[in-house]
Amino acid sequence: MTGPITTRALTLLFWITAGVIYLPIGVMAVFSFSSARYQILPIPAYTTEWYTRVFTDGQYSAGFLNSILLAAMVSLAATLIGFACAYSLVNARFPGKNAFTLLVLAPLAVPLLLVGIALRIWTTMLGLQPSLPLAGLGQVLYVLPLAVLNLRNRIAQLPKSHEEAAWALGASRLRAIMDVILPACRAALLATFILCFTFAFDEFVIAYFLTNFSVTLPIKIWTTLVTGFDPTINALGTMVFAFSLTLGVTAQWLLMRKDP
Amino acid sequence: MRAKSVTLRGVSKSFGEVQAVCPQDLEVRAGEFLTLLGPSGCGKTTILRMIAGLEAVSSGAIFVGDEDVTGHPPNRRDTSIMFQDYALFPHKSVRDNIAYGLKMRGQSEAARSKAAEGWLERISLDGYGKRLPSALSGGQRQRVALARALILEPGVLLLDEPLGALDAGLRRHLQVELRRLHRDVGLTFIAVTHDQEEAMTMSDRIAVMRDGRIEQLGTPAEIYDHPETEFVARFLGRCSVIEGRVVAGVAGGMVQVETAALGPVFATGTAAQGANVRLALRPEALILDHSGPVRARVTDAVFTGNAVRLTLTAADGSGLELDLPRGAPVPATGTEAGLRLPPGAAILLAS
Repeated sequence: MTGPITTRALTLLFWITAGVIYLPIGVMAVFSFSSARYQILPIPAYTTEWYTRVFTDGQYSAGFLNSILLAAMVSLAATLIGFACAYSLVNARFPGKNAFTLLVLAPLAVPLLLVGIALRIWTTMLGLQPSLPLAGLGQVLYVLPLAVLNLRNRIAQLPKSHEEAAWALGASRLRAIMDVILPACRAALLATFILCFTFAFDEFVIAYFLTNFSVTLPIKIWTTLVTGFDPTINALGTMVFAFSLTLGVTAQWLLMRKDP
Repeated sequence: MRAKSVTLRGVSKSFGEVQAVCPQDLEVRAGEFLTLLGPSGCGKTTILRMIAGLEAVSSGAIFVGDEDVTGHPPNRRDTSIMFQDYALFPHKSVRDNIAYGLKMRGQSEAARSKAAEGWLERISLDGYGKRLPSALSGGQRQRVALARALILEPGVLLLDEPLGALDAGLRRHLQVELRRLHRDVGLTFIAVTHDQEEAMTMSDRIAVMRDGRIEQLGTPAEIYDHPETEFVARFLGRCSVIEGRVVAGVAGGMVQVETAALGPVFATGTAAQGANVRLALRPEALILDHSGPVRARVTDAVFTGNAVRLTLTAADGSGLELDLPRGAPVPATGTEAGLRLPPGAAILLAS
């Protein structure tokens, strides 16, 4: 039983959590409109100057474009590989399947810094030059568990009989996947793509270790911060946050929506 | 004739340690309606799925017609299957669902469409072709699933609990419909059900299954009137079981059995003299008769609609059940009643 006191306590906890997460971002958003170079109160005047600067500074737009392109390629690859992987995990019967599933999902728990360093060492040993495509490969490894997890849940929900009916009516295995499984996974596929996209778009560590400063947006932000604070970062951060939040919410909505 | 026979030779199936189907022979004749009947977990659905090719056999061979299809995938067998949940593709229209098998055979859009429209008409759903399955009622979906399976004109139609997802009234109606459809299309039908009434209404022959084995195979009347085991007797309708000892063989496939409950009884079946046996009595076998040779105490009377079901306790404490026709006087609970058992009405069960 949840009594009124428990309910109230839970509500309070919710707002505290939400406050802890979103207050700093809110502060950043507010200062992004401040005319002062530093975060001082009271705010002397409101301006959109920093937003204008983000758009006029060629380095930012180059980084933004790099990030978008990289994230799109990464999430497309992760979604496709993830689907194949998830389908196999749901349908294959082999001993140790549960252990193997955990193994696929385990990278989520490894600190990203370790992944980044390990990838750097390994690619160097293989004689691969750091580059944007290499960073993309690294990021695919990073977001793949998310894609597998998402799609596995969806595929596991589907009645096996639909696919079996397709086989019995003459469809090959591949044909049945195309005709029966894929249409039922449309929303989940789109959600997975978006989710992987937001993770890849924000990803810094792997991109940092596997590129030679072929600048993605997170790297650009970091280097700007290292060389001295620039209020443009507030404006940029606010925009990136709004962008990611929109994508994230869309992905969640797609996942929660009841598929026919 | 399109209809094909199905032959199982020593077919078995194990899932890991669990033996779902013990080595089994079964001969399904071309054009007949055979039902695998049994409680859940008896292996009936596994047999159906092995015939469809959705489950590999652990041993044995399966023939459809003269062709050994044991290793063939589902799409290379002359069988169609209808699933309990119908398995209609939710993203495809009713027409595309029905025409799916023809599409897989590479038929042209026009030919497919024409055939599908024909079937829509046949199942009284003309005009519903463009709808999605979710816009249909349960009974309509069932018909679409049937049409989708039959449009390929398979030699054998497999039906997994064909009426399982429908409510009672509709079920009774569709049992008769399925039987008529079977006559119309003239194909071999193999169905799976746990509902004995359904099995008896629809089938030419019934295979009663228990623990991965076919316990008895025969026409509905054979199985109802001459159950070989207590399990079959109890699964196919109600019955009382009493114990006795064979005192003599009688001509005409009967034996005389001395029972503590009903005295001397002439039962159908054969057994060695002196053997201890069990007898099954259908509720309609016993007759209430004041001057009858046997007496039993009435313990309960329940109105069942077309009869009154009396529960009685025999002299030795055995429970008996008896159906009184409507209008017959109902003896009061607690009183003694006289009983008569026509010769041959009791069935000798295998021990």
